[in-house]
Amino acid sequence: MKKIIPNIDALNIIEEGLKSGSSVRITVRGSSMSPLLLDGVDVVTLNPFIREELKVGDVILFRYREAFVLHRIVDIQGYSAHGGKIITKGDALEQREEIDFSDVVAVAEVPKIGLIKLSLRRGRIFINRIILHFSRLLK
Amino acid sequence: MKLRPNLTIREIAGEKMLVINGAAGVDLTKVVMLNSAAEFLWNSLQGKDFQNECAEDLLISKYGITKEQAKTDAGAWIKSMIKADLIISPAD
Repeated sequence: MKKIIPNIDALNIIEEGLKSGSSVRITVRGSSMSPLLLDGVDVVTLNPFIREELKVGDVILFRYREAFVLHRIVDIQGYSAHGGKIITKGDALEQREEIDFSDVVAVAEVPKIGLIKLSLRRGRIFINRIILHFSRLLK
Repeated sequence: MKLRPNLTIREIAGEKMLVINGAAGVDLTKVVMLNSAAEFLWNSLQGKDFQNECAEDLLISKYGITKEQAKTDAGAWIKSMIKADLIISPAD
């Protein structure tokens, strides 16, 4: 039987593992990073990180509004030894989040997906959207 | 047979779960839930080489059940541990 570990419990285990220098493997939840990462399908490895080495393009796990989120860094603003902001965004979303460096929990190692598989995933998502659109019209 | 090392029991959302914590790190993709009897057997047999009869005897002494019931329950527990790849046979 599959069981989903509540966000806050999973975060505690993740933070403990990372503090001890271990990496942590988790199954992705949600579709904000599709088509690269699919809900319940893809697994990412979370690793400890060095603040100075965070860069645009990295996929990070961070605390955001009492939950934790796995999105991509799209901008780093006003970086200094004691401040700066990170702008993140899910690959499938338009909205962005603005977070502090202290909100970052880990850097994610994402599975390598070839262009063909990625294109197939994009195609499937597009078709599902069309089906959903028409099913709503028919209601 | 032996139970795999490098697993820790954690209480998560009120339930006991086995979490893999080995050389490759913590693996939250393969968490196994334990009821109280499963947890008791896990704690009692950790680090020991055992056969089915050991698990049966433990259940009989802990819960006062019959030999037949213990054989069924221990067998089911061992089967689930093998399925979850948590038991190492002597050949491993």
